[in-house]
Amino acid sequence: MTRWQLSVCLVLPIAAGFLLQKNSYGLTILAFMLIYGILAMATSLCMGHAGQVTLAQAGFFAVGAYASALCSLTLSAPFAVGLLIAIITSTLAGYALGYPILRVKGHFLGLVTLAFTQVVHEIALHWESVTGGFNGLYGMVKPTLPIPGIEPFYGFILLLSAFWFAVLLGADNLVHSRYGRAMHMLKASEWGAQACGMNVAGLKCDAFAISAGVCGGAGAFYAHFIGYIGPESFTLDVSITVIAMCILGGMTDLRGALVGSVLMTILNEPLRNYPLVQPVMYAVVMLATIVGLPRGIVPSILRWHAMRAALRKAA
Amino acid sequence: MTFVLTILPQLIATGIMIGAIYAMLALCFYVVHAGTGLINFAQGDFVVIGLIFVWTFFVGMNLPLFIVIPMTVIATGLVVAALERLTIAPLRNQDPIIPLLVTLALGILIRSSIQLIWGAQPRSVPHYSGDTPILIGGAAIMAQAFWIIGGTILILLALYFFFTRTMFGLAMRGASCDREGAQVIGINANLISFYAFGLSALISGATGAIIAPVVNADPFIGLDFSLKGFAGAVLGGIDKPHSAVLGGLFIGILETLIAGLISSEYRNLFVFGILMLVLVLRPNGLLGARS
Repeated sequence: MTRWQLSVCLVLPIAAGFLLQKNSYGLTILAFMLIYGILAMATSLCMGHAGQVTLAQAGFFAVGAYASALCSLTLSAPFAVGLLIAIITSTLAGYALGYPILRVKGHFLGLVTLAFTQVVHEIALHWESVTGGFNGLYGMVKPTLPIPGIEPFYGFILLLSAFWFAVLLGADNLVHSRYGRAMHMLKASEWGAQACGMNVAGLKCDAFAISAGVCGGAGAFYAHFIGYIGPESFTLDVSITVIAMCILGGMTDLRGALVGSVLMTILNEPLRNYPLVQPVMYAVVMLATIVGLPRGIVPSILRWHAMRAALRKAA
Repeated sequence: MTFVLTILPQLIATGIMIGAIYAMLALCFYVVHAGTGLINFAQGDFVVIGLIFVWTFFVGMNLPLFIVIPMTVIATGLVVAALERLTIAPLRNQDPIIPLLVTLALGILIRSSIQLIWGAQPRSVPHYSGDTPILIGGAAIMAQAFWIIGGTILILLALYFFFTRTMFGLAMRGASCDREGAQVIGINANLISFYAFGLSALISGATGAIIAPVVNADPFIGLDFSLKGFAGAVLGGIDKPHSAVLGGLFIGILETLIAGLISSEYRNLFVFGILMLVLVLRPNGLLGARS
């Protein structure tokens, strides 16, 4: 991303939040866009850049959410501590899941990570002494900035935007670093990467764990934003929604993840009142995008631009 | 201990019945993987299509059983064939991650369409030959279990014939060994993909038709089917049909034993824990070749 695009990304949520300060509905949608944007970036890193199929986002999201909620509720720790612990726990969970499934490739990986999400859901449902079982955990309070005169909700949006931007900056740097190029190589050809002397197993594990840690951080924000978490907040649908966002915007580009998360959140709003039609529409949008525009919006626009530039040069 | 001994035959009998269901699913995973190299995330949902058709024809329209079963198989086959032509076929030359996402989206589409049209509540279908259990060696076995096990054996025999005696079955096995090599000697990959999905749909439809009375036709059960069938296929080894079937049976028995003897709440945790362990120790499956 260019410096100019990054600055727009920094200003946009802050300005939007400022304009919507009194409108808590608008701020809620903005918060969802940012949280889903973080998850979509994590997915883009793992799937689009490193080529490792994952459906474990919901699982890591849940791990982070429960870890930070427990920190707040039982230890009455401040939010920052909860966030840190959420990131550490889910990164460790990422390594723990990554190690045994390194041997599994492509589509198999997808189903194993799907199983992980289901298992996390099952633990959240049945380990009642810790997770509160079906009733879940509630009573988390939105963190805010200690600035006098600021709306508490806007303060939360600022914090969330800061985390969102940090993830964006980190991911963008990672993708363009030596490490990111190694990830691209891993996606293009695992044997090729191995032949070039890369530590394929370590790289896969790291990609998995980084994406897991980012999802965990999003989970911490989600838990404190909604103030309630239960097993039903973290079903497979979360993973699928996030992947649909990445497909819509473009899996291979971080900007695609952001565009997808904004578009899908907006699309979701009018459908919220029709819970039966919503998943059908989701699936239809997803299928139509994949069949019609398999690369996603952002890479397609970039290709179109490149083609036009080439034509102009030739003319 | 005596308690364990008294319920053991019962658990094993139930396990074999559940295992037969998972074996069918594992076989479907094998068929699609052999023909296209894909893992079909919507596999369990194909079975749910079968379940919902059985309910519609048998309970909704009150048709006799000997018409219901073939109609279910054909209807499921047609739905899946249409979906394959519309969504999988146009993407055959894309990055393999893309058809995978398509099967994922197909799963949601099937699940949510069924929920939209038929409603989310589970639908129960009466047992085909009465619900008086039959006592064999200390285990009370539902009469439906014989339908399931008998049906499984019939399907397996038909597939054995298909894979060893017909040109198409041989072509599919050839494609599963080496997809590019198969194309070089003139096997049509597009057709193989179509027939692989079609065949898996026929098996799914037949499975749905025979298991409908023991599982309630709930639109969300498909995901669990997919996961267990896949676990079976990986555990046995997805490269050969018989190892996939044995893997599925093993998962069914294992799950029932865990649910009965250890904890029914955490049975999926144990099943997937064992799957992870197998993946670490024997990546090609328990019956697969050592790598």
